[in-house]
Amino acid sequence: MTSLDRVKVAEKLRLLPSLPGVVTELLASFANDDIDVDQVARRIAHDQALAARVLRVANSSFYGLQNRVSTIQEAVVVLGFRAVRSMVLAIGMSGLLRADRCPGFDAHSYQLHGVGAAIAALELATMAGVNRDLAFTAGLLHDIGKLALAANFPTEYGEVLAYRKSHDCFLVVAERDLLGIDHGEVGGLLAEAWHFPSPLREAVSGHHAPATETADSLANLVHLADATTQVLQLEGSAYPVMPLDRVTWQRLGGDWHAYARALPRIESGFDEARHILI
Amino acid sequence: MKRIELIASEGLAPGMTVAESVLDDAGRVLVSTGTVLTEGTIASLIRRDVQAVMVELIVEEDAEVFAARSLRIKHRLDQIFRLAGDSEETQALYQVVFDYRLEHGE
Repeated sequence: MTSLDRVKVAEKLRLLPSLPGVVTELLASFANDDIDVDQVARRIAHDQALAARVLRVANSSFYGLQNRVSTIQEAVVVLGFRAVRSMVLAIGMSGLLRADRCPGFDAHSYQLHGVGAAIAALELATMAGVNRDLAFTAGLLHDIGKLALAANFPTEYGEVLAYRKSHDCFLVVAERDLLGIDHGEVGGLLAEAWHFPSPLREAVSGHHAPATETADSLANLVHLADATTQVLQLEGSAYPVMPLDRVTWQRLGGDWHAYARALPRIESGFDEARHILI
Repeated sequence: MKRIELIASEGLAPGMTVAESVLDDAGRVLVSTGTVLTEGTIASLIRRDVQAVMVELIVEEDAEVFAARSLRIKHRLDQIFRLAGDSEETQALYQVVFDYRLEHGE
């Protein structure tokens, strides 16, 4: 099988449609405290497909609202800007990457894993001294490289998935063996193409090699959140957990008691949150 | 092992640990998760007409049942950790999850 080199992957990712303008704006808002929330709500409302999906999620049982919300402005008032932002980012990106032609790619598991990592990152953020909203979004999007590979190279990635199964190895090993590039790198290329803010870009590209990132990089927290979804089997299957990186664990505070205290919150939070996107 | 159960307020006893925060009609927290009940807090809950509270109960477990449960948890974790190596951090992670499953159920 021919390996996909970085240039070929990067070229293909450059051809992807750009993110809806409002999604780019929301990504930038992590670095901007004085964002005009009303204006952003109006921009979301103008993208009808996006707005309809956001309202469907906002009115789902997950949020348990007493009254239905019928406009984005109402959703922002009732749920808060941060919740709406996370929702729009996830919905806006997954709409551009359709993986249904990739044999063996389980979109449902992908979503469960993303939501699991998002909740784990959120609950572990305080222990790690990280902003909780950014942690949640990073967890939600950390494996977007997998989706990009499955959507853009469905045949090749289908072979990777079959190889992983027959060799019982980690997915990144199968990706490197067959493609010469892994989903962290691909996610990093996509994050560049879509102008993710740098903390999110690092979380996406570095979560499988967090020790090579800086000590305050979000890649450290997402590495731990990723492992946590596996050890708690939030996706339902016994997918093997990767070794926990020593340097990363120390950087995150190295407190097993604090970690243990977060586990029940992660499981109950996941039970509620899985209904958001799925 | 611990078990979470809904107990009618009249059946609450000092020393029980609250497993789920109790809220009033306005959504304000009356007693938060993890609080150990005292006679005072129980009386105050009854005064506020709280009907029942989720609490953590410690239940005695038959030694054989416990051993079988431990083994099931171990098998499952061995499967998840099969490729994770045996570094100090990985072993500690295994132990934390094992203890968590033992205490909070499978």
